[in-house]
Amino acid sequence: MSASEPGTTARPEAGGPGPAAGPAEPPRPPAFRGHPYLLILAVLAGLYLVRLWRTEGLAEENLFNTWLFMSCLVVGFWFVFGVAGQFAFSQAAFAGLGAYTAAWMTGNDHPFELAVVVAVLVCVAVALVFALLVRRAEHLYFAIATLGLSEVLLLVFRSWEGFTGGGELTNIAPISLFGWEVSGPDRDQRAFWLFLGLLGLLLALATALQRSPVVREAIAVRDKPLVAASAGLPGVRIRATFLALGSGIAGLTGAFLVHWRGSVTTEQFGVDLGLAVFLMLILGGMHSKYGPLLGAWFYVYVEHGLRDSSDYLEFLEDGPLHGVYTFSENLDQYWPILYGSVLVVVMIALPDGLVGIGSRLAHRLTGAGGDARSTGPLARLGLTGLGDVAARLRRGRAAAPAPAPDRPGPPGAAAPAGPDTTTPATTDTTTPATADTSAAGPADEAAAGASARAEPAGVSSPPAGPGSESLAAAGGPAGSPPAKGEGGGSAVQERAPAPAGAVLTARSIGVSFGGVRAVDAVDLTVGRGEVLGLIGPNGSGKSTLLNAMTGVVPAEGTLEVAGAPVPLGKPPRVRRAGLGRTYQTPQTFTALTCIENVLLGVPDRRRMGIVAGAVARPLVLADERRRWAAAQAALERVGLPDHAERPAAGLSHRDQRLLELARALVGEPKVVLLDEPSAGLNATETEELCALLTGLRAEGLSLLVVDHKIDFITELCDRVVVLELGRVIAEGDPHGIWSDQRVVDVYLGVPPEPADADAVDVEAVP
Amino acid sequence: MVMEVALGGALGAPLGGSPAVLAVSSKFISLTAAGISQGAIVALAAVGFLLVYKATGVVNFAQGDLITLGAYLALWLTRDFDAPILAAYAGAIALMFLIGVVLERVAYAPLRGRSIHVVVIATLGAAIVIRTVIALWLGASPVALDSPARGHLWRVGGAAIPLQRIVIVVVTLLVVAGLTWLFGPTAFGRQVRALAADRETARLHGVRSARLSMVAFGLSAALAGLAGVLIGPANSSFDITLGFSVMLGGFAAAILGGFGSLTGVVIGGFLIGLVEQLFGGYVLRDYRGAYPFLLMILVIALRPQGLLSGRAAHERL
Repeated sequence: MSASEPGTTARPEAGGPGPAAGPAEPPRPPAFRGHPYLLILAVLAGLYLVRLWRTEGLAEENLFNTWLFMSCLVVGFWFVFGVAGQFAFSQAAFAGLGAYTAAWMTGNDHPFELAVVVAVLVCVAVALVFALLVRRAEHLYFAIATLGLSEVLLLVFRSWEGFTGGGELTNIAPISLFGWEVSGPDRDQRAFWLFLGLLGLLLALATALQRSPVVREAIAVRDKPLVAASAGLPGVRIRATFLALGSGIAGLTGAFLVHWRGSVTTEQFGVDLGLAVFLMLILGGMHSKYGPLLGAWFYVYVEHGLRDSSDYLEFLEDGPLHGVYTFSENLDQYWPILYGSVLVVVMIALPDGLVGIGSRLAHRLTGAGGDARSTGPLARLGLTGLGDVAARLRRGRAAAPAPAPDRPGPPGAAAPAGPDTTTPATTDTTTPATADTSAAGPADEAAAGASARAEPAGVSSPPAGPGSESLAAAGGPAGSPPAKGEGGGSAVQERAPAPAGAVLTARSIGVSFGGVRAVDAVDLTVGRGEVLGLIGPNGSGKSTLLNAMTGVVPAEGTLEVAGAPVPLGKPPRVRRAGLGRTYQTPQTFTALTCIENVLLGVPDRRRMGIVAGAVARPLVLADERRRWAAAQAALERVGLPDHAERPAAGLSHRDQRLLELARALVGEPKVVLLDEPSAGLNATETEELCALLTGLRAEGLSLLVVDHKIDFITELCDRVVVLELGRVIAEGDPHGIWSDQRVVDVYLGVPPEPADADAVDVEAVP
Repeated sequence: MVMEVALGGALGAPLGGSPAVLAVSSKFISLTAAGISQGAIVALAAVGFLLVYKATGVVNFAQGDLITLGAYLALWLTRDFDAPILAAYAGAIALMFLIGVVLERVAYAPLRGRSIHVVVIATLGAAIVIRTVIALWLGASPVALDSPARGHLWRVGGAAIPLQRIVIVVVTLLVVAGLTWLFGPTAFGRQVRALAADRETARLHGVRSARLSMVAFGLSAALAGLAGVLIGPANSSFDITLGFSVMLGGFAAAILGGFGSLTGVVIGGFLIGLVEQLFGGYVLRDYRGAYPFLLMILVIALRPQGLLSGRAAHERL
């Protein structure tokens, strides 16, 4: 194991920099371009030079090795917290578990190599079991649970005589890797090579994973767990994987530590070190894999420096502080005060750490874009990650969707009277969409609405058969370029397996928030190629109904997508069944690029794990190219063809909505639920959106649209369902619905007053 | 000094014929008593941070070290000023109130509205600072704090229960009753509940959230002081880790009870104490300290919203 080893890993990566290799081949995704491994080699070489130049004598060599060792431990923690955002205080305890396991193995005359492997496996196994046990725990609970796990492990170290000898072990055999021993006169030199090699390997692993899909997904799960789940990501598995990875690395470093030091005590793996690991990562900068090096340097060398600064402090005691204060004999006693305060100050003032300062300076100097997937302020983690989305989605409910009633619908209950879906060419009913006709739309609709309101006597009862009248209404003012219509025809044929009839059937959907019945036994059917509008006043349960159907709030009822029952309460399964969605407030992952946002929704999830990412690079590249092509097509479909590699952070509100739509579209969904797609868009943008959605419908896609802009709904939808206080109160043709007195009443109150339809858009997002 | 109680004799008499049965039952009684008082200790520690959590949404991981600080302040007052023990207690609690207010201004006000990550790490940083300051100031070696109840035993059915532990149970119940009242019909409680429901709207309606936060932190630190002067003497000696380990139990109790509920945390605390003492008294005694956390992890696995409450669990997280 030597420092040159990462170089061998780097070889297969020697791809040409710059974009696509050839015109026929899909482009090489940016994560596969360039030579990041060269940077690792440069860093390792730099470390070697620093050691040659600055390190003299046993004490300093020892300190240097401690720095490298701590860096390894913190790189492991970078996977857990920096990438996956998991609030684990258990890193130190896992290092202890690895240390005692390995020491027990070598103490029982097993070879060191086997001891290391067993130590890592034990840590991985414990971490996996723990992660699965607390899979539903949110940040705070997870943090407390890891504190508890640390206490339990420490207690085991102290009490299990047969395993740890009561915690204090001495005379542990030196590290011996395939005959190469870290002992003798050049012991520190050898330990240096060992830890340098280990650090290089870990950085190479970090790079490999950063260049594979798994880190992208971990970031998504970290930032917006519910949105990620609705995009189809297996959140629990991803979180458990990264906790196990980081804990395994902790076990590895622990195993090396005890055999390097030759002795071990329980105290060194306590919560203090667990917190110090946080300090090192955060201070160094948790968004870069090189941050741990800086943080560990601070931790190791500043403590040491304090111990050496007694001369200066004696000067203070004799001079300005004479008679006021006498410093303690052991100056390292002050160390916790310093690092505790640094932790507080850094958390409040410098959430990006030292690396963050550096990259901000570099940004300012060069104006170059950074690594979008791994930069961004810490605040985003917690604030937009949970506070914003989740609060909105759950409205203060318990975070984890309770195990939902898993009642598949009766098999024969597929909606009977859907539109005649054998004609994919809804295009033939469309009128050419030009800016002129679209622009004329609102005025017409306003007039229609006004006339409907003017004669409330003509109350039409809601049509009985859901879905049956949709084609009758399909002749509405929809628009689609003919070319798109043709393309859409083939798309429909590709998605043929769904039985005739409804694409989406929801029955007796009910959601309760405490005593409030937010959605009450709602039946809903979306026909094939149909655009169903869902309207109703604020608080009528529209978004909650969408959240119930996509599984992000606990609900009862049954759901069928294309005739197949889908269990409620499991967002990834809903997505896999073919139900895409967008959100009332656009939910994009700002730490990722646009195309990475879309890639999250690609249903092809082959070779997404860390093992494939680390060792099966060519296969992963092939998969990624295919996924990349699909995602690029989705971006083009929504009109963002040039946005692929732009960071999603800087997008306009409209583009965020389109990006979200692309993510929903990329999996070739059967039906897409749009939650107020026009909110926050101006008139022109709304028109464009309407044309886009009409085009999608023409391609055979079914849509369920919640919105408040009446002209938008009227123009787009084949059929409209009106919700009030969680119940369906009316259903019918978007033009005719306004002649229903109940609809007029819930929207305008009694007595009805004329109002501008546009003014209803009150839930527009700032 | 030993306080004999007639009840103990009365219970012991019928069983007197069989020493084995007596031994078993006295062990059970003493373990149960230890469990209940352990639970009271945990609950007393937990109500302090729940007060701040309910009022400000900040989870204060430094609460445990504030408990330690309370115990050391009382120690300092008796040692350096020869204060009578009860006066030292009162002084420590009063000082803790002031320290709480100052800490709120210095360390916690900037954390309001920040993500849970920032709050947890920063308050843990504060915990380290507090602990180290105590160690530098009064030393890290084990100390003992006196108490009027120290050394008194209450004998029940052959089991001897330290009076200090009974005092802790009584005080804990009184404190919880007082806090329940405080969060109930008082102006403070109304404002706290308004803030919890909707911080911005509450502020627009004139709730002075900054002042409320200072009061909550002051009261919480005073409760930590109270916990410190009660828990300190319950141990023959203690050091600067006194509060932190108690606090971990307090967090476990809060999770068991469904974070945020005072009744829940008390029941959770008693449950933890009883499991640790009763279960740990008979099975794998060396590992009984792990039982509260294993129980907590089990509860998170099976019922993450807590054993009692269905809804309070994840509010505002």
